[in-house]
Amino acid sequence: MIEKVETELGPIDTLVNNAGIETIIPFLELTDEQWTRLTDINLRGAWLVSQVFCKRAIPAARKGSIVNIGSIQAAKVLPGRTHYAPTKLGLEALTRNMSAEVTPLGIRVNCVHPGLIETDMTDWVMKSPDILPIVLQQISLVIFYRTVRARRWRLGREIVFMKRMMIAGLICLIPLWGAEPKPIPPIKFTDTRLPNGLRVIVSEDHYAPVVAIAVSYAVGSKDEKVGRTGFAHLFEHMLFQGSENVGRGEHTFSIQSNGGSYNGTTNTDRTLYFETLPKNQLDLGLFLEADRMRALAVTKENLENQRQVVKEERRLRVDNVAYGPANLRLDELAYDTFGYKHSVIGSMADLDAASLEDVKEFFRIYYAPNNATIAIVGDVNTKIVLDKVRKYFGNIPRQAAPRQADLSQGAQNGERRERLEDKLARLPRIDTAYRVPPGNTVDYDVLSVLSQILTSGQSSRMYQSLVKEKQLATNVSSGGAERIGPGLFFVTVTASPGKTVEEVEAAAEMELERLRTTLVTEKELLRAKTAARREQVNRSLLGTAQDLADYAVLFNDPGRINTLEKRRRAVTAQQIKDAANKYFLQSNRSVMIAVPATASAK
Amino acid sequence: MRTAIVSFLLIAPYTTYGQQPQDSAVKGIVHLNRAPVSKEVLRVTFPRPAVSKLNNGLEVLLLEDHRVPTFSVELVIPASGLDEPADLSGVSDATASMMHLGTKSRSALQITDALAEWGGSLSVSSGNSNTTISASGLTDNLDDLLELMADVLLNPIFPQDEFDKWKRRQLNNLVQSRTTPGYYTNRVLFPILYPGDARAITSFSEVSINKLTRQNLVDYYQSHYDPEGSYIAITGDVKPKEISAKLEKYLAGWKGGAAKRLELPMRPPIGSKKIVLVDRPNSVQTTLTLANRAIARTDPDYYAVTLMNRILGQGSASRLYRNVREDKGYTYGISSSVAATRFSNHISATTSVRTEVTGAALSEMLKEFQGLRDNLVPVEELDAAKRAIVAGFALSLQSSASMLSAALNLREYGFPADYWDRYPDMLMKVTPEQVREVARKYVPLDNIQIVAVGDAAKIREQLKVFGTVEDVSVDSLK
Repeated sequence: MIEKVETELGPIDTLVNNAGIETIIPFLELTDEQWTRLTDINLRGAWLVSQVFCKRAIPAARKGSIVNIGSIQAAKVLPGRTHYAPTKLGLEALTRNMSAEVTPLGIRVNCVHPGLIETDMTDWVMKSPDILPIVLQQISLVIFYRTVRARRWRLGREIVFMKRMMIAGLICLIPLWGAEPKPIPPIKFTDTRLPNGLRVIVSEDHYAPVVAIAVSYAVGSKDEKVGRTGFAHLFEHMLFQGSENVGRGEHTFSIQSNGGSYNGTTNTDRTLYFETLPKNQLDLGLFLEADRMRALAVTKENLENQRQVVKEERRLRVDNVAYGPANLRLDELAYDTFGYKHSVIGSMADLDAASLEDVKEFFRIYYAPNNATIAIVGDVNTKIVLDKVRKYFGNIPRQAAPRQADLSQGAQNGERRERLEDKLARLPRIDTAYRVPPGNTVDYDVLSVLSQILTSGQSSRMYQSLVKEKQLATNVSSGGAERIGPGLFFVTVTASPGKTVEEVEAAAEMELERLRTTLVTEKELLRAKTAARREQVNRSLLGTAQDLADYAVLFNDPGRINTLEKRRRAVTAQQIKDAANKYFLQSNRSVMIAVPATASAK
Repeated sequence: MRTAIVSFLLIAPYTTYGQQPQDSAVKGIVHLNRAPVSKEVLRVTFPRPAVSKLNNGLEVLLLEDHRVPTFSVELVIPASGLDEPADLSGVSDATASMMHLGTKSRSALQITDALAEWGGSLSVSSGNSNTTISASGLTDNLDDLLELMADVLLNPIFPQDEFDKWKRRQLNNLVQSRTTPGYYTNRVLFPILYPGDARAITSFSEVSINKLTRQNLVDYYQSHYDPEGSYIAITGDVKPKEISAKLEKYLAGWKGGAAKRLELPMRPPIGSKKIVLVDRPNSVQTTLTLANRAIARTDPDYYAVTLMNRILGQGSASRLYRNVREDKGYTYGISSSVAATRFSNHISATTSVRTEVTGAALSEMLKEFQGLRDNLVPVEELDAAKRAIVAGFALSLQSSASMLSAALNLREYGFPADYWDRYPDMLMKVTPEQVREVARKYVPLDNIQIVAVGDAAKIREQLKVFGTVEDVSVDSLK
């Protein structure tokens, strides 16, 4: 048959094993002949034809694909199908196993189950040109009998899917390696820009009468000048101190006394301001953000006060805690580029040097609408929100685009190592930083999955071996920030009492060596991917607003919030091994060892 | 579609603010009043969980939330973690911690691996009022997690080797925690506030960890993990019939007698002042905590105290914040709080300030305490505090977990089902006179209990100004 087709029509691209029969016979009445006939047609036929097809295509180096038509009854039980159902489930197993063997040779294999209970399509299906026609043809073949619920699904085009079908509904594709979980519905949002450059992102969520607003400015400690470390964060404090139409303390008072909450945060790459409010205070939130974007009003007195507050913050987070100085020092060691080398909190001397003129200049250069993104998420109407945003922010003039900080640095030539005596620590801590790529890269996702496997939770490798079994460490952690410039991947281990730095470091290194020499297991990969799924679904309004604004500012990609699970799911064991070999090298690391300063420290 | 849970209340403003008050509602804040503020306060009604009973008597409270495919389950056993013999301090925490480290059919590693595979979590904790087993995860794994939860509840075996390793980890963690000021504050403060019972002890010590044996845990488990009076609180992507059926199946084997209901005395405020200094060498800040015993949760004064505490030290409009941070710049953070639960009744204010201004900061804090006791709070300030709390209820509607928790709160204290519905009105009724009255009752001054953790050599003289200073060495707090 195959030969006849290929002789008359040419090489086959796609084989659809659609031939199948279905009979309904009670189990206790079923005969051997009935079983054999049905199984021959439905299952044996599929493998025979597939083999012939492959034996012709593969030697000729022709790529192709096979689609096996299964059935809803691979998973569902209906009366009188004890002979039919196994053939359909069998097709699924046939698909998987064939795929494992022939897909590396160029033949893709998939299975379609018309009318399966779970009917959501996966992304790649819709984008795959050779599958789509099959799917659409199937759709055209089916008859809708009865539906229980319908849900709209957006995947680049509007297609309606039925969630529960009794017979022959829509199609679910089983991808090459195992059933994928239902895709998480993406968060929908609109993304526009005002004429003055302000980027405005709006996402509606009508579950609770709440709105979250986040404004991210593309300025962070990377933009600070020498002698003014800590300035971006000090400036963040100043932005709460009053503007043309908002008195000192009135910003935070207005938000809180109307039931809301607020905060701000600064890192190397951006400064983020946010508030959550009952939905009827949307105008309040927008007014406050616009007024301080337009016309900050600062006095010497306010600056002096917040300078003291920030110095206290530094004492609280750095100078009065164990490992505080070591945390700062490691960045200084690992980085060469000034922007990332110095701390976000800054030095006391530089904080003291900050002047009112510095504040005004900083505001003029960086706090402009063309340097910011505002995200509004919650119980709002998009059109109304956009009108309000135009009303409040529209007349803020744009400024010249700020100069981008130069974050380039030369290669790290060899290990850097430092030992620091810590007056407050009671246990030694080994903190190792490896140079890695920026945040919006494939390797960042690979390293995120690697980090999960290495140190996240009690099943992780380092917890099991260093903390639990060998009791060498009290704590282990790993990971790195999503930066726009060169990144660092940290592996941090706190030694248990009585253990030496050398033995602890050696044990940690052994775990990295394992990653370099052997593949992580499928089980470990799956755990990391499920964790990513959990992370993706665990969203709050505020978290969504923050991520939308930040991803717009950092990577020009607010949609990144919808791809977390997908990106992590794409990570392979080989990629992890490659990353370990590429980045976890002695020559690529900086090691900070903080030890208790006095032997008598308990 | 959710039934309407929010009604806009277009009422006359709760405040006597008027349209454009010119004077400052809160000292230290400049009110220009140009920002557009909606005068409405969204009046919310918390959705109530559906309540049902299992065949074995266990009550099930369910608040459905199908936004995302996750769920969370809490099995609450009315066994107080404070119910432990004085010479077996920490046994309740130890038992809870060990439950998931091995059952009859699963090892600790198998349990943690299963959880990791499902992206789920499971924990057992022994709290002051209750013992709680919490499980959460993706809906796809509901069955798996419930089955595991039941296994951990019903079949823990407290393996000796796991126990030995766990002890070692606690001792190691203890070394780490001894570097933080908070650790010493608790070690000193709680025996002062709650002398003579388990409330005085807030963490393990070397002695208490080493004392515990496996048999202690087994005994504690057998005498405390009983179904009588227990209930299950569930929120998330689950359906009532489905969840009841599963719980019936997995918890059918849970039988037993009643756990004892613990009673502990709730004492009045301590009468005389105390100042305790804990030396933490190389500190660059002093951590100050001011406290005394105060009010029970069920006391009718609770509403006035809530508002008084808000004005004193909650949020950026609070007296402590505006003075010690925004005026003096002594600190990055300062706040006050009221602990009022079944077993705790105290009020406290805490902050960390640079060493040199320890005395000055303490002085300002006491000034604010005195201010609330001596003078009436301006009406505008009180109204802003009321509005902050009442308008803030809308924000908690985002989280089913917090709404469920509000419902459980009522059970804890035996409040009526409409307690939260009436709560805003009860707050609104509070007058400035009542605020001053409760300040006089519960804001300590002459009888203040002060704990200071910092560089003793540098701050002792600063503290002596306020009274006799007792030194406590960290060695004595092993």
